[in-house]
Amino acid sequence: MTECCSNSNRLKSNEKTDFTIALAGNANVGKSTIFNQLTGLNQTIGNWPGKTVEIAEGLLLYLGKKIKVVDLPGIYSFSTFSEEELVSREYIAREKPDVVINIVDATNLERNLYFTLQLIELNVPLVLVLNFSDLLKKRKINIDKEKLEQMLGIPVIETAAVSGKGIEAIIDKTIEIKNLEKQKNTIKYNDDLEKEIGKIAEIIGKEIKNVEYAPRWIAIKLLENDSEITKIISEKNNGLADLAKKSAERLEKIYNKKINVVLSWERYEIIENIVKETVRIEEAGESITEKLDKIALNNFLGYLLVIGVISGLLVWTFVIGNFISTMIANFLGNIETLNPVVSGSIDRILWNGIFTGFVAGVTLIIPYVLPFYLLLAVLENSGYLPRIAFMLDKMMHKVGLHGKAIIPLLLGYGCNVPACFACRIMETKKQKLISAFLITLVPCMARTLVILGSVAAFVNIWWALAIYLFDIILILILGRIAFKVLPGESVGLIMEMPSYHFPHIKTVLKQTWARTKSLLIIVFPAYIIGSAIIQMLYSYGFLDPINNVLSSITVSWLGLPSVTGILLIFGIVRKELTLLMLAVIFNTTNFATILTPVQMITLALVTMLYIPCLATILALQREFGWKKAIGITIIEVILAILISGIAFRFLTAIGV
Amino acid sequence: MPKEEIEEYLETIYDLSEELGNKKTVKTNQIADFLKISAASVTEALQRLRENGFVEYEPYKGVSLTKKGLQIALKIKRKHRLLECFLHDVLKIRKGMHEQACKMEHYLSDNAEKALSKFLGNPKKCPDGKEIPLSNRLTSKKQTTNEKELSKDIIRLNSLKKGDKGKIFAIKGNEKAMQRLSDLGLLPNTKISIIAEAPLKGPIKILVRGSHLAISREIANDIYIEI
Repeated sequence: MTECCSNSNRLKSNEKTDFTIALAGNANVGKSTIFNQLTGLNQTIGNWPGKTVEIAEGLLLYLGKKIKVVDLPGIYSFSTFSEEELVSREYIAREKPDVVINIVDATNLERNLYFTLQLIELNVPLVLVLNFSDLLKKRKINIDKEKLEQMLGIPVIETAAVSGKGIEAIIDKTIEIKNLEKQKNTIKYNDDLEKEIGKIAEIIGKEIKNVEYAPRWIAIKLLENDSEITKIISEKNNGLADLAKKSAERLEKIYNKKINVVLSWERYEIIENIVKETVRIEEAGESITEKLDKIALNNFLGYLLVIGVISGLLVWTFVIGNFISTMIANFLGNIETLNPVVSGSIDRILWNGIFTGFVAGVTLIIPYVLPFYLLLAVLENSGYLPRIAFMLDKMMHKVGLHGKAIIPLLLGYGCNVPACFACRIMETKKQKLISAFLITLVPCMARTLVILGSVAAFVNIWWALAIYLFDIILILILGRIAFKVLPGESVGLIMEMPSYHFPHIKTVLKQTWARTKSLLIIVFPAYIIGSAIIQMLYSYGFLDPINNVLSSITVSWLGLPSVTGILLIFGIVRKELTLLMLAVIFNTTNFATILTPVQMITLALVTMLYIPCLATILALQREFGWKKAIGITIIEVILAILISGIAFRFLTAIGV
Repeated sequence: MPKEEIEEYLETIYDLSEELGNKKTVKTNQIADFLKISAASVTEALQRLRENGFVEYEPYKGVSLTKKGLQIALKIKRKHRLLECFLHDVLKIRKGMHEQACKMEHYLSDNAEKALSKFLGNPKKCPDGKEIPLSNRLTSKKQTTNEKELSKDIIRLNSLKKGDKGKIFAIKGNEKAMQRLSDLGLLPNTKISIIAEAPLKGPIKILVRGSHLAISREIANDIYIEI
């Protein structure tokens, strides 16, 4: 689901390969498992130009042939509901993969074949893969493969991707199809529809040149009043759209339904017929998924499970992370002593900045983020995440989002950077932006270290928890405001609840690695370069004037020591530096001797809220542009100053 | 109180509240003006309607329809507007169309209404461009048989409970949501059943064409089900 955190590598389409195959299909059909079975470790995740949708690519070597395998996003249709759908069809039309592999869930042909019919409309060489075929016997479902091939006019292969069964057959069939002249795969709709489609397609065939799509497909999309296609065609011939509109009106009159419904209905009518002829279900008992859902969606047990899983995820991350982090830090400490600030020659300072930045990346990102990603990939592969979204949908509605947003928000507790990329799973631009904004308020691992290292260690654990609780309330309130203020639309939750599956280990590991890798590409440079520059500035005293300006806020409004300005400047690069710098400047790790409990809580609050770190700002910029990234940054600076100042006065008044 | 009179009152209250921009309460004298009768007799009638549970009425404050009252009002409105369509489109009667429909609406049986709607190609708007309400929007299981007959079988997916089954009658709402729903196979005549409900009016989980989907209440509200 969340193929998150990409770097924006353009697709490497110029690499020399013999031919290209594209994997297409609904979400939750085991597509990424098949992709990982087909390809090796050298996968790249790239962005489709101008869109926040990613496409994974891998290489397959088979019988001396170099085959490029492209994993398209999991979608249900070729409409314009989401960017994923647009990107997938553009990819197929422009990049022209030699063969498209349509992967479907064999246990649920009826819904899956809808997308198959749309691929057939596109008129591309197609192979149908019935995945999860191992489950067919268990569920007493019988599929007449030959009949299905014959009715659809495309080859059909059964696979069980997890065990690797049928994977080779896919490649063999692909090569066979590729060598065929032209696959003949048209499915005729009813006469009324065909009459109108034929009329439009004929004109397109004659008059419209230089389009990537098949005339029949364009005709159907024009009928459906598809905004993209209508735009493209209108530029070339402005009479066609009107013609299609008239056709659509005629059809709407005949069927007394909206044209989109007419077409969907016809497709499903055909599918119903195919399913009736090819699928036999002997008895439909209660599946394991239904049994598990009785617990997972139960009013009491379900919530217990949600709380258990989320806190388990965080605790696991922290325990494992802490263990690995200490180990790596000790190891690196043996090589060179770590000191956030040194004085001396310029190259000495620079080197120290680079080294500490590197160490921070290694001791913070890898130990904490890796286990987090690992468990998240397990959860994702198991099919449990949509259940969390289901249970928490109502809560998320309070902030104008829906249940799915819980996934990026959760990711934010690990690291804000990949969480911002994960906002892509939301449907509309508005929802993406709100989720990303809220994520930057979620305390990531670095901020958690600050809160734990100061408040929990030197005040008490309850104040630390209170800060977390306050943060959640703040997120709810700000989400609500953002939802009211921001223009744009929100779409309610429409989400598939997939069957539970035992996670496929290889896929989980590869996903974890791919994500960590693309995170490192952003975070490491920001850490290393940022640390080096800021140490330079500090060592040469350039930060003092800034600190003097800031001190009017930090000292008189927030009641913090006069060096706080410097801590906060360091914190822009890496949040955990606020605490490290404090230790360096005062030359002690016993913060109780330098800060009062009130100051400690105030500092933790400021650090938590005041600015997204450098890497997060870069991530926001990549997803939403500079304007929005800076906007969010400014809002949070103001917010942090306001809230922390009030908190300082309040806490002093109640005498903490 | 004769059935005709009840229906006429409820319809009037519905019309007036619609005119007032769906403001719920309607004043007694507004009804009197509209029906051209004395305020005293309106007050008397409203008290009776209240006794029968069709309206909520407080003297001086105004009157609003209960669920039960709204159901009847919508039904009669539907018949009225369908009859207008028939008179206008088929019989080409324009003069007195409204008055004719006003009288005929009370005698049109539910079956005839259904047949008429089908005959007219299930129109959505009456000749004046006003929306024809769907057969029924609010049915709860607790109703007496009499009312059930009156308001047969079409209800919003939202009012169904866990374990309920039905067939989709119609879907309205924003285009994006509609497109997604029809892509997932939620189309007129598709069988649908409710598998689970999230607590606190959260989303519902439905089974459609062999796949399980979660949809939020706001979307479920726009899906009409025939049971």
